[in-house]
Amino acid sequence: MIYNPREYARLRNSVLVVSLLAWLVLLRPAAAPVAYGAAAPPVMSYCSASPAALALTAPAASSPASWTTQLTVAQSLFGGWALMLVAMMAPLLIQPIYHIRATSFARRRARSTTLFVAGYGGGWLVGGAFLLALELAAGLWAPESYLPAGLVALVALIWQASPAKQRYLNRCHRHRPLAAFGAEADRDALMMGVEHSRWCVGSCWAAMLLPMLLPHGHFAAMLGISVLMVCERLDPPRTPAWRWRGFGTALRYVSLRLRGPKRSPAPAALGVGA
Amino acid sequence: MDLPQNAEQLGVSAEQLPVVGAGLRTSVRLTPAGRRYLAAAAGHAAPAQLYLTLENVHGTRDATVLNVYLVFSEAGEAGGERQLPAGSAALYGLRRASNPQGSNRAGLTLTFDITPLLAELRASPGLQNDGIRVSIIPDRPLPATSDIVIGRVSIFRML
Repeated sequence: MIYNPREYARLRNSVLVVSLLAWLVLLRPAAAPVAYGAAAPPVMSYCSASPAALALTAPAASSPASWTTQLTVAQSLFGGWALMLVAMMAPLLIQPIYHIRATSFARRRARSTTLFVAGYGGGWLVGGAFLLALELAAGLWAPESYLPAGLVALVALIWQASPAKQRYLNRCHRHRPLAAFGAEADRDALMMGVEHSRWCVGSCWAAMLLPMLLPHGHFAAMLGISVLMVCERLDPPRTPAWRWRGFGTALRYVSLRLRGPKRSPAPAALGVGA
Repeated sequence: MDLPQNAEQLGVSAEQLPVVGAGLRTSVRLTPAGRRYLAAAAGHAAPAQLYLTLENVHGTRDATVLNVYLVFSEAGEAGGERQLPAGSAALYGLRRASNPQGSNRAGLTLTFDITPLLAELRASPGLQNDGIRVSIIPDRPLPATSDIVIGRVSIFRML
């Protein structure tokens, strides 16, 4: 694999534009039909499976339109979760997608990238089902309360500093060698996506759950978590240990850009005849 | 400085390659586009840069040096072959790069500029059928228990 700064910049910009568009759809209720189709609920609650949101759209089970409506609710949840994934996770995929493009034949690049994204998205949708179930359970236990979010924030804080989190982050930096020809190449790209989603879900599950449980400030929390996830991927792999992590490399980069490199002190003059 | 616009893969080896004993030999299978490019490249006024890479090299024997050669068949009845050096690389940092829980990067990637061998590649009679044969020889023979593995060998051109 040969690193090419121009190709990397092109890919990075494209992925960031996709992420930005997803954020715009999330933040702009007028664009809701783009994500939800006919299932757009009157109160936007992206990636939300709160009992209130479900009750708003779900009729009685005896209604003849019950199945159709439940289908649209499922479509709504699925669409919202997928949109949130695109917005939050797309910037994390720049490195692996570049790896795939740089190690695949030109005619296979689009296909391998699509398979990788499909594997990654599929893995996250399975993970998302568990997170949505947890959100639903929390909503039934303490509706419109900050208590579940507070508990998850505590868990997320501990998880963020734990060696296990570092193990998952290290794995996210590791890209498998890909076969170049035939069905093996397709399988490798798909499996890389599934593997990557596994490490990504393991690394981010607590942070992703937190905004889902907040009664208010959902989008602000999502944005904050996105920044954290992007910044922690900038850190190089490390030996797993208990430590605060997340913004180290990003802060050093910002400091370097603002202040410039630190000047080392001038070497002391050598003493003569001392 | 003019940076290259793009890198295109012309061929890749088929499977992982363990490096044991006196070394190994593999064949880099070319795509049809890669074969066409190599056949036509010498006609270009300014041929593109051509690189051979050993990707995802992992193991624990940091003190090994790998010598990489391209193997060409001799034209004529004798059917001999000759090896032209593509380059050498020491596997410094191999253990650290291979540690799954430390500073891992899925192994080392070693790149060699083989542009000077482009004319030889064109003239190679086996190019259309066998791809490009590559020989990788450690500077000292490795034991059979050596754990050095090369993920794949590939050939790129920079556009």
